[in-house]
Amino acid sequence: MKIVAVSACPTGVAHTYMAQEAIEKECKKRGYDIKVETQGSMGIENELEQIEIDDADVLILAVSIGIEGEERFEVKEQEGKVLQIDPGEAIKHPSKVIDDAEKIK
Amino acid sequence: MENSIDNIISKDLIKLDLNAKSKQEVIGWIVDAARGKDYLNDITEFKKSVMSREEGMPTAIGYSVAIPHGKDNSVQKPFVGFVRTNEEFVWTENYEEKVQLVFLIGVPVENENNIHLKFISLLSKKLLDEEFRDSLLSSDDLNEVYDILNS
Repeated sequence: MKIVAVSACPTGVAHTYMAQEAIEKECKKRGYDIKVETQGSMGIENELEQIEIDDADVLILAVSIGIEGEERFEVKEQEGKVLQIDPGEAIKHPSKVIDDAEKIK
Repeated sequence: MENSIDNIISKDLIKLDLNAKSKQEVIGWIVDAARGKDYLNDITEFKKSVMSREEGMPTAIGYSVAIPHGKDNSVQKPFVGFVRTNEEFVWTENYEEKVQLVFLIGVPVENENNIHLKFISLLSKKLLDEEFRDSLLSSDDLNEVYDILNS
């Protein structure tokens, strides 16, 4: 399974990167391909290419603020392959989040 | 060794086994220490910034950890303060989340120094590691905790 994700929070110093780490850890544990773009105080890092988004089974948006480049996700949204959650949810319950991602695959 | 990274965490901003039972007490302790070390020039403004972030979304993240933070012009240079309380306490009334490890993060509104932000992001990620948290919970030596946080 291939998952791509974006994490972002209002201050962009901690939650953004913890959510990234939590999602990556859980996916690696399950042997899934994972790439997480972060939009934080250091700008956009690990930016998702359109082709990576198109190839993914599921897109996780662990965001609690508006993000940049949302137009990249339009097709995924139309397909119903987007899981929208709070970054805190990814940090606290990464296993449940990835379970939910599996359900919409 | 004094370099820019070392300056983010100062031993004066670390407190083990603080006898506190509320976020106000813990944040108050760190903020006072930070003012003494010239990280902050206006503790009232900074506390306001931290508490408004808390009201929007409490920063207890599970695992007995809370990471309150403020991005505010009162911050002279980025810092991370760390308090371990003597026992777990409820972080936010009406939420069940209990915490014992508190990291207070302060960053200026305009921060050009990505090295500091990188350090804070890496430290945040390490908090998800159980061994890392256990070492912070079990150590009785402030110097050792300081080294763990900077590892």
